[in-house]
Amino acid sequence: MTMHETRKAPPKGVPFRPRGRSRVRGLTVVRAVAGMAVFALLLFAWELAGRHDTTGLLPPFSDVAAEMAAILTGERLTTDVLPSVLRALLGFALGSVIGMTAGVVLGWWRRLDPWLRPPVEFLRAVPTPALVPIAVVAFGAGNALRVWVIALGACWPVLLNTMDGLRRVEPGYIDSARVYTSGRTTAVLGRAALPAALPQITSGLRIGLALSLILMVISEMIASSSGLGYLILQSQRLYALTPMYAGVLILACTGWLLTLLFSAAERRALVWFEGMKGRNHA
Amino acid sequence: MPEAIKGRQHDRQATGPAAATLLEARNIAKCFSHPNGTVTPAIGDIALSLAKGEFVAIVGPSGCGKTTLLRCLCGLLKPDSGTLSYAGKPVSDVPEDVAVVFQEYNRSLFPWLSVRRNVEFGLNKLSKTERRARAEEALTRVHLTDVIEHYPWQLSGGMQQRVAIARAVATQPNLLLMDEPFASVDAQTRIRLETMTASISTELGLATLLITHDIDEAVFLADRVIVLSPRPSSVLAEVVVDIPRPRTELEVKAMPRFQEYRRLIHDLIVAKQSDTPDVVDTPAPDGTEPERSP
Repeated sequence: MTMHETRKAPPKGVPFRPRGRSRVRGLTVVRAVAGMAVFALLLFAWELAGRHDTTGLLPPFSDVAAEMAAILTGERLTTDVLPSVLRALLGFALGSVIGMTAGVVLGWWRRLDPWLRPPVEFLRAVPTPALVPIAVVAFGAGNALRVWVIALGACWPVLLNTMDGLRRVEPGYIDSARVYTSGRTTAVLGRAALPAALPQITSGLRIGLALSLILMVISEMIASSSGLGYLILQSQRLYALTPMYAGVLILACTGWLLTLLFSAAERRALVWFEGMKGRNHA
Repeated sequence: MPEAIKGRQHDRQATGPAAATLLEARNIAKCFSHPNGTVTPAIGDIALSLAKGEFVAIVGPSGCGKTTLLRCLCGLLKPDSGTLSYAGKPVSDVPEDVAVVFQEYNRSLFPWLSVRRNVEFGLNKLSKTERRARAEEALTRVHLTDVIEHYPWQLSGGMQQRVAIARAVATQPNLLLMDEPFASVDAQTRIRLETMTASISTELGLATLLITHDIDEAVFLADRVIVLSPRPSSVLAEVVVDIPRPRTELEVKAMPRFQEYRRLIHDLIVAKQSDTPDVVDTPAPDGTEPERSP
């Protein structure tokens, strides 16, 4: 820790770029190939099992894939798939805003803590799906219900991580920000505390996104006439097992894609964080 | 000679007009209360003033509440009692034209901003072109123009502290406070940074208040050295350093007068430490002690 001065100064005029050295990159390729191989093997096993299945409970993967393609190119794309994704994203966005706002209030103005903590702890203990019937009464069985249920569930991890992140901000950053903004609270918060807490807020958002997808499915299985959750449930009731599996796979792909997009955005926003961590561990 | 400089001196305030006083603290005291109910007094009773353009160093034994004092003086921490005024006005929060360089550069520079954006941090009110120009000028002063787009954590400790100095200078402050700014860098870097600080302070006519535990550093840099007692700290003595500027490290440190100042301050600190055990809460009575508040 006291050896800072012995660190080599970076080459002149070369700003920071995330490091992608060839050895690391080679390892990544090997890993990706290994992962794909196992994945392909699992699908192949599914295909075999489906073809030899006599109970009619397990359609082969090729049938399910064909059904998936049919859904994604047919009219169910606009009646079920896209509305679902949109609800999940809207609910996630709304929940994030609620969570961050409440997290900032609780994490920044600590004097409010004794007043607000008991109700917050209590509300947090309510499993969100239990709110669905209440939300049906409040919003009717429409889109508003589903978006709100998703938002109310997804806001918690965001709230807790924002609050905790703000409380853990290095006091030195706050001091510096106070000196160089003449102590304006909004500037100290917006220009120092929130950026410093961003890594942790991002972890909260990541969990919130996963929760959004779960709650989307749950909310669409109750009092619904469209969406991926509805598609899966309806297919099961009609004993149309191929579309049921196709729905689950589409759901899985959606979640995977959204997580991928989120990770890409996260890497962009937190280049400094990854770089700094890399330095300290080197 | 020691007789001439021992005790509290107010030569500067006596000669200069009262209007030139920039920062004035009277009977500042600060205690910290712990969750278990005990109260630790950090600052006993401190009175000091700083004139425009003056370089003052505050030295004291380690743990005497120097950092607490600095945080009080720049408005980051509210003292329990006493009055503090800056440019004639009472201090409530950090004044606009005060800049601070903290001891731990890696906890005061923002790791999510490039060097340039760190230096531009305090210039938000200016246009983008003005901000850039000021940041580049400040970084030129500390000889860091070649790492302008790097992140601070890519730089060595000495370089990071230069970025912190540039960030302070870029705001064109009237008062620069420095809290043990060179304590975490190696000896050679330290001498370079000290010399750089001296020349920046002189060139810009900056009033500078340096907090340090290093007596050599204090004497080399300051016009006046304020010596603090152990915790709860109070002003033991003020020593006016009568060494002409510009000062160069090797020349100044070879001067007999430098050795005398150094010895004098050292003796003040050591004598005080030996007759007050660490655990005692109130300092022993002393002839040079300023009057304590009731």
